[in-house]
Amino acid sequence: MGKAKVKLEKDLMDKVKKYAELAGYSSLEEFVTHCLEKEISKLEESESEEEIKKKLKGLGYIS
Amino acid sequence: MNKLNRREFIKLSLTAGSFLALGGSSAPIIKASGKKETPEKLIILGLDGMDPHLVDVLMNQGKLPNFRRLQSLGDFRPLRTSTPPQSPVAWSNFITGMNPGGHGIFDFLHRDPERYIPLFSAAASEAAKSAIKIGNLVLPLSGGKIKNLRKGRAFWQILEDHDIPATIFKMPSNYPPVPTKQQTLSGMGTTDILGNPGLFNYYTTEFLELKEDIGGGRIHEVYAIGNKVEATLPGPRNSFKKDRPESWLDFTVYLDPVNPLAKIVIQDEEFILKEGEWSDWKSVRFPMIPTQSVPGICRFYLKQVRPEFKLYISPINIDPSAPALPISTPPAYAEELAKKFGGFYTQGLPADTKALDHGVFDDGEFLEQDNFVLQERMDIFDHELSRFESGLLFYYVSSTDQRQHMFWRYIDQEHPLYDPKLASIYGKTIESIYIEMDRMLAKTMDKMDKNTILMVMSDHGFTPFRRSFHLNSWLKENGYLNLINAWKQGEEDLFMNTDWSRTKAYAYGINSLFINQAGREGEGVVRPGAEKEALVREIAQKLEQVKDPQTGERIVSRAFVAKDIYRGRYVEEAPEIIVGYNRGYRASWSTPLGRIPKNLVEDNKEKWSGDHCMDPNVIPGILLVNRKSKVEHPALYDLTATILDVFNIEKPEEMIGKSIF
Amino acid sequence: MWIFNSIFGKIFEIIFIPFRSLSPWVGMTLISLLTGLLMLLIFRYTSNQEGIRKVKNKIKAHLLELRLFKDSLALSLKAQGNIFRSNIKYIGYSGKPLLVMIVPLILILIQLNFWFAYQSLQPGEITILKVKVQEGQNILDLELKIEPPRSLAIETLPLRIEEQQEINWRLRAKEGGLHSLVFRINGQSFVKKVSVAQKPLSRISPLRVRRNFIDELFNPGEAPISKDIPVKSIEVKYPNKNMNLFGWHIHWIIVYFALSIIFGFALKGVLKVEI
Repeated sequence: MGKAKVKLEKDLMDKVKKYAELAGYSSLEEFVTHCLEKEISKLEESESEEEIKKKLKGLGYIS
Repeated sequence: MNKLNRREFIKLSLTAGSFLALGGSSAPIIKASGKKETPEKLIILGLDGMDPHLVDVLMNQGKLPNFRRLQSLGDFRPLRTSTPPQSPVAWSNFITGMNPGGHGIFDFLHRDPERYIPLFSAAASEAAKSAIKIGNLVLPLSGGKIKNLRKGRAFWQILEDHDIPATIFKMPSNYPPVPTKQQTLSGMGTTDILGNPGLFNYYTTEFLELKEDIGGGRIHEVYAIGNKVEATLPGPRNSFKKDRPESWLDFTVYLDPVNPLAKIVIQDEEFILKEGEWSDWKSVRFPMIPTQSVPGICRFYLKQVRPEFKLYISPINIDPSAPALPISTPPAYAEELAKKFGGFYTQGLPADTKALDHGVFDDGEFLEQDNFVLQERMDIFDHELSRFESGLLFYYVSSTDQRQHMFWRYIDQEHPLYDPKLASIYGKTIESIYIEMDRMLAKTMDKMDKNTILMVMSDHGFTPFRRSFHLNSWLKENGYLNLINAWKQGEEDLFMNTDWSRTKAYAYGINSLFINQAGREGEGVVRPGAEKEALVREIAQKLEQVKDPQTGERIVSRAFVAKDIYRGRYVEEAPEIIVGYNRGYRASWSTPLGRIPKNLVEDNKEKWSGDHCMDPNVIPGILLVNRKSKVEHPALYDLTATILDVFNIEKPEEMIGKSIF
Repeated sequence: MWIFNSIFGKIFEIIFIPFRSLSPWVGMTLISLLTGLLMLLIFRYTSNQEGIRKVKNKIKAHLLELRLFKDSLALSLKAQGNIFRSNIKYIGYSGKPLLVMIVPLILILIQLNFWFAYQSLQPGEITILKVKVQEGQNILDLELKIEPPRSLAIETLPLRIEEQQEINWRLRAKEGGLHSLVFRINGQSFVKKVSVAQKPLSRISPLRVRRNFIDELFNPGEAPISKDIPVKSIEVKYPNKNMNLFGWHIHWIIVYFALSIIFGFALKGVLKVEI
C-alpha cells in the first residue's frame, strides 16, 4: 500500500496529538484516518450535485 | 406449470409466522379515525390554480351554471394567496393556518447555505443511519426515511384530536403524509419510485438532438433489428449495493413487419399496443438483492411504429397496491383504492408537462395523458363522495393548474408562442377544464343536504408568463454578485462560477433571494444586523424599479422583505426577499438553479406559458361557498380557521387566520 | 393419449362438480384429503411396513440412549452414529413407495394445475392469443383466419414474430361463458376454447397443442390439433390465480402439499399405516 505524507500546521498537530491521546487512539495515524474516513463517508452519503440538479429539473417550473 | 416465485415463498413464510404470532386471528385491521357523527358536514373542492377572473368571465357567459348556483347560495370572492404564490407554499398556508414563517415552506426550493446547492423544500430523504457492508453489499440496519419538512400541525390532525373524521385526498405539500388516523393520500410532492418529481422514458430509433438526460425525462436511442427492439427501463438506485448503482429492467418490443403494432414484454407483463395506443397500468419490480425488490407501476404509449419507432413510458409511479414509499394514512388506504380502481397515478403532479415541453408529446397527446389523470381522479371522487357521511371531505384536482400552465399560449395573443392556427384547436382547453369542474361541482351539490357546507377554493390564480427575468444576472449587473471568470458567464449553473468572497446576494428557487450572510452561508460575507438590514432594503427598493427595456413595464411589482411579512418560529429560515413579479413576468428558467446568463430579460419561449409565481396581489385564488363570508378579503389561512370553526373547535394560538363565518 | 387424458380429466371433473361454485378452498381440501388417502394406501402396499416399524423403534431406542448416557461422550457418539445409520435405512425404506407415488402424483398435479393455477378472463379483460406455427412455414404468407364468437373480440391485426414462428392477437372477453374461437387455415378449421367469467373452481386450459406425447401429457385440457394443420400450439394467456388465505396469496401447490401431508399424518393411525 502506498503512503503519503500530509503536512499539518504545528498548532493543529499539537491539538491532534492531544486529542488522539485523550480519546484513546493507539496512534496518531489511527486518529487521523478515522477522522478522514468519517468526513468522507458523510460526503459520499449526500447526493451528488449532478443528481440533485437532475431531480430538480423534473419540476415543471424549472428547466 | 405456474411457477412459484420468490415473493410468494416469502409471503408464505410470513403468513405462517404472523399466523402463529397472532394465534390464528386474521391480519390486523387498521382502525379508522374518529367516527363521531357530526351535525355539520364540510366538503372542500381544492381546484389548483382556478382563477377568479376566468371564473367570473365564464360564469357571465353562462358556462359555469353550478358555480353560479353556488354563488347565489352564498358567496364568491377572490381568495388571498400566499407570498410567494407557489402551490407548496399556498397549500401549506391552508394546511396549517399559518404563513411561511410558521410552516417553513418558502418556495418550491430551498438551499443548503453551507454548500450553496438547491434542494426541494417539501421533503428530504435520509439514508439508513447504520449499515453492514459485506463486499459489494450494503445491508441497512435501520430503514432509510423520507421526511416531510413542513412544520406545524395539519388541520385534519386537529380534527382528529376532536374525533372528527376527515378524508384528505391528494393534498399538496403532504408527502410523506403526516401521521394521522384520518384517511389521507399524499399529493403534489410525491415522487416516482426513482425519487424524481416524475421521470419519463422515451425510446426512439430517430436521431434526436436531445441529450440523454433532459429535465424530467430520459431519451434512449434504440435500434430495431429484425423487427425487435431491446431496451432497458431505469429503476431506483440500489442502496443495497456499494456506490448505489442504478437498477434497471430489460424489456423487448416485437414489431410486426407490416402492421402498425407492437408487443411489449417486460417481466411478467406481455401486451400488444396499436400505434397511438396507451396501455393500462403495468406492474414492474426492480430487483435489489435476492429477497428485496421495489415495485412500481407505469403506462406505455406506442407513439409510432414506422418509419421511426417511438415509445413513451410514464414515470414509474409508486404502486398503490404495494407502496414502496409511504403515500397514505392509514397505509391500507392506498391499497384499498388500488383494489377497487386498479392502478392510478400516485405521483404528485402526473400531467407530463416535461414531455410536452420537450416535444415528446404534442398538445393532443398531452391532453390525452392528462385526461387519464382527470378520469382517475373523478372515479375516485365519485367513490369518496358517495360514501361521505360525516366530518370533512377535501378533494384536490391538479388538471386545472397544469392545463393553464401549458395552454395559456393559446388564449393570450401577446404570448411569444401564440399560434392562431393551433389556438383554433386548443384555444378552448382551459375553458373546458373549468366546465369539467362545473360538472364536478354539480355532482357535489346533488349530494349536499341542509347541514352541508360546500367550499370550492383554489390556491392561486393565473396570469400569462410572457417575459422572463434573470434575477441573478441583475444581481451581477448591480454588483451584488461577482463571478470568478467573467468570460464564462452563462455557462454554468449552481453558481459554480461565483466568487462568493465578493458576492452579497444570490437567488435560488422561483421567488427567493438570499443574502450571502457571514456565519450562515459557507463563504458568507454580509454581517447580520444593520449591514444586512440596509442591504436587504436597498436591493428590495432597487428591484421594484427594474423596468423591461423592451416594454418599459415594471418587472417586479413588489419585493417583499421576509421579516416584514412573515410570522412564526421559522422566519429566520426564510429567504431575505420574496420577489413578487408583475403580470406577464416571472423568474427566468435559469434563475431557480443558479445560472447567470448574459442578458436580463427575454421572451419565454416555452410551452409552459401561464404561471402564478408572481406578486400574490396579481393572482388571488377563488373562494365559492354556500354561506356568506363575513371577512371581506378572505385568505387561505382564514379557511383553516373556518374549518375548525365549523366543527366548533377552538383555533390554536399559532394560527393567524380567522373564521369567515 | 387424448383418450387417457379425457377419461382422467373427467374423473376430476366429477370429483369437483359439487364444489365448483364454492370457494376453491373446498375443492382443494377435498382433493388433498383424497390425495392423502391415496398416498397412505400406496405407502401401505409398497413399503416394508415391518422394516419401517423396526427402524423407527431403533431410532427411538437410540434417542433414549442418548439422553441416558449424555455424560459419557463415547456412548453418546455411538448412539448418534446409530441414529444416523437408522435414518439412512428409514429413508431407504420410504424410497420405494415414493418412487411409486411419483407417477400418479405428477398426473394429478398436471390436472390440478388447470383447476387452481389460472383465473378465467373477466368481461372487458384483454389478453394475448398466440399461435405457434410449424417450423418451415412462412408466417407472413400464412392464410390464418379467426372467427370469434360475439362474446369475444379480436382487437388487433395479427402481430407476426418471425423469430419465434408466432402470431399474436389482442383478445378481449366481452361476455361470460366457455367460448369457441374458430381458426381457419388452408380450408381446415380448428377450435380453441376461451373461458370467461367461469365459476370459482373451473378447469381452464391455456394451451392446445399438436399431437405429440410429451406435449399432450402436460396439456391434457383439449384434444390435440390434427397433424395436417401447420400449427404447433394455440395459447390464451390467462391471469394466474393463487389461494387466498386471509389476504395472503399462496401458490396452490404449497397449499396442496401441506394439506395432503396433514391429512396423511392425521389418517395414518386410522388406516394403520406406518410412515
